[in-house]
Amino acid sequence: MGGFSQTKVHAALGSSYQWARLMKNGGLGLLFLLPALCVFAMFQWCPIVYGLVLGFQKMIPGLPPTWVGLANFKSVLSDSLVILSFKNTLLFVGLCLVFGYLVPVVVAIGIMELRRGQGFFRLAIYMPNIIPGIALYVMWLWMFDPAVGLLNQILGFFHLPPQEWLLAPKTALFSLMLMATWAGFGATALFYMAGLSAIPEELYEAAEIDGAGVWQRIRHITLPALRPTMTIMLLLQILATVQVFQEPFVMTAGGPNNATLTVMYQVYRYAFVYFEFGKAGALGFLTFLFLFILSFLYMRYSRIAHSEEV
Amino acid sequence: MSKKLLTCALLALCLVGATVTARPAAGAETVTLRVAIPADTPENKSAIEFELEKIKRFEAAYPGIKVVPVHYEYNPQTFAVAQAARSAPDVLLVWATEGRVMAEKGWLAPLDEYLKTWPKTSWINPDAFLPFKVNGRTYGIPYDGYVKHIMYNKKMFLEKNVPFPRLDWTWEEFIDAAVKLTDRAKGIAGFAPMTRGGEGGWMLTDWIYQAGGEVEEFRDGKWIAVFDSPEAIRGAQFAKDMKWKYNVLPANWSQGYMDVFNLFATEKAAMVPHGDFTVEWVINNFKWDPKDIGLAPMPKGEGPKGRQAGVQGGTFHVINGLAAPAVRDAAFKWLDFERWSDDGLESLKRDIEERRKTGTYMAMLKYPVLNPNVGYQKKEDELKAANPDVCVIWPADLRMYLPKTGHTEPPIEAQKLYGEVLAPVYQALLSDKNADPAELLKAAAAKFQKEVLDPLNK
Repeated sequence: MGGFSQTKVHAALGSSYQWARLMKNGGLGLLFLLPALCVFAMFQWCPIVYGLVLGFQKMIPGLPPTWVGLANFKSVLSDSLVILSFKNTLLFVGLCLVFGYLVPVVVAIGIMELRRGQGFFRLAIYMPNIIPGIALYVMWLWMFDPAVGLLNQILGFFHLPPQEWLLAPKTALFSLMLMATWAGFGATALFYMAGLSAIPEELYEAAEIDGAGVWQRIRHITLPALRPTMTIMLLLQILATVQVFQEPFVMTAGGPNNATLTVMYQVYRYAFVYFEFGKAGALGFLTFLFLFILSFLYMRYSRIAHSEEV
Repeated sequence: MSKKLLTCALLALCLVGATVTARPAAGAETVTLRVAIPADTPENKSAIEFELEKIKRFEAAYPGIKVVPVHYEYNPQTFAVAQAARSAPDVLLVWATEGRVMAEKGWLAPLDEYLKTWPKTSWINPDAFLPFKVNGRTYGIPYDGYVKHIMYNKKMFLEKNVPFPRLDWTWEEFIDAAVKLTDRAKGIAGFAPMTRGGEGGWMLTDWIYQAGGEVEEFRDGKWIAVFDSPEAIRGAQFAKDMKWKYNVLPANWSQGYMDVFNLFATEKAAMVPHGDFTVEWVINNFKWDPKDIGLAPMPKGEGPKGRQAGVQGGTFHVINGLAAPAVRDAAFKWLDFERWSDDGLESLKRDIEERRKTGTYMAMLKYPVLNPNVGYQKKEDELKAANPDVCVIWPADLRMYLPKTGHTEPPIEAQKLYGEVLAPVYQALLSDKNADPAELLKAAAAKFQKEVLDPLNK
């Protein structure tokens, strides 16, 4: 009996020792992470895993799910609208990269080159970010209006023909990109400006003494210094634009003639218009897989390119 | 000390045990019924109070049933989530469009056994059940109904010297009026249809039906997509001509359901399609005089099969398919309780009083689901007629005429057909001057047949 108690005491002492040691080696810090981990697990990781599970089930909310194997994936991949939605989404990503990716870089460099008024322009470019989403979309719906919209008024001022914007399949996706770029470039530009302000002033001074012009300073100092920020922003932008949903949902409902039907909008339609949650899970997971592979390849390529440079 | 503690603990356990043993005897017979009541908003105050009082009377009449009121108004997004969480009401009102999809998901309880013995079944117009008859079973009790028609601005008609629509007007008269009412300089469209999202497909079917076409037919044991027929093509051509030939649509023709009523209410559209409740919304929210609004049936289409037709809709009482049998029984008792009785009229009286205080109108155009000879219907009509300062009484001839122009919705995958197949066709017709209705409808029908109907036929 006494031996037993002694063992228990040692065990208790041992565990409290280990506990104290864990606390000493940063365990307390890990404890602080626990709430965030719980929130992420509940609202991010579990839904991702559950989305995959849903892809293999016929799921009617409230009723027990049934396993259907790959039927949902087959059905989704044979849906002509899914193919179209992928094409539209990739086109949107491409347009956002061509226009939306460069604008913040150029604007950030432009503002940082200013001798005066930097604060004003920083605030000005960030303003669109504080407009609530729905207000933004309604505002742009009016700006795109073919009869009284601001954009056609501007075109008219320059004697250019009016455009149909959201009403024509050829220009609808471009119009959404235009709005998304306007709404989001300010925040991205701030990231670049933060990166720019970290570049030592001496480098520019030395370059100026050596006779470097503005373009040469940008090319040989600014852009290389911004490269890590640009790399991560490129990836984030691709991830964000592939998931485009709100703009077509509110402004075009995927039209006209499915010209703005995106993958995430189709996921929404599967789930909340047709109640086909299995198909929604399958398509959502395929998108996740696509983004995962894309991110993996991109990060790997970036690392190789970086190590080659070093 | 430990013995005392043990004795106390045992005594406590005995007490708890006795309580627990006593409770199920009373609780086993009590059925808890979750009932949908109006959303918790200031304008629903009177209706909510009435429902809560009705619950008290119901619980007194049925002591074995405990009613839990749930503020809930149906919409597809919240309903799916509520079903998943098992928090949806056991008895609720849903849209007529949802009958088939909800029944096929197992979300609705069949009511045939109840309806067989319910005395009030014979009061209801049998056709009113149609949207909730699925595979030979009935899943809903009609609450009210509508047939899509045209709402027009009388002031604009008078200003432009355009005669008000006759009950049996035609496409020719409709488009003639629309052309005269269009005023580009003032940004006024003669007619504003719904074209965005699923509403676009919903709207296109009206033109197809008016030309004498159909969208789905059951032939030789198989479902066939028939919206590539000459009649359907004629309907689509008419929809296209409104933009490219007659130019009577808003410059921004991409309008959703409520958008067209905003255009109407702000006098930017002279005519819009209308179902049931939005006329009241326009009158009360934009302070319109009801006398300035006119309602007319859909016009008669061209061609040998041309007819007047508008999609039929409404709301239905349903019992949640997830409810246990005892709860379903309780739910049907709730549906029957004070239905179409003097107590129901009491609710209407209170609503009228409340509206008189707030200065709002009761102006929905609904055609009754009860047979005209049913006493309750007569009393309700009389009560409304006795309160003309609150109740807008739309012309009797129109109310009698509208049901004749009703066309039920497509029975198979209506939402998919509207949103994924017909809305894109409508939008293609309006965004491309050279779009060929025949070609577009042929391709759309082939796609719908292959991807939706053929798998079903197999």
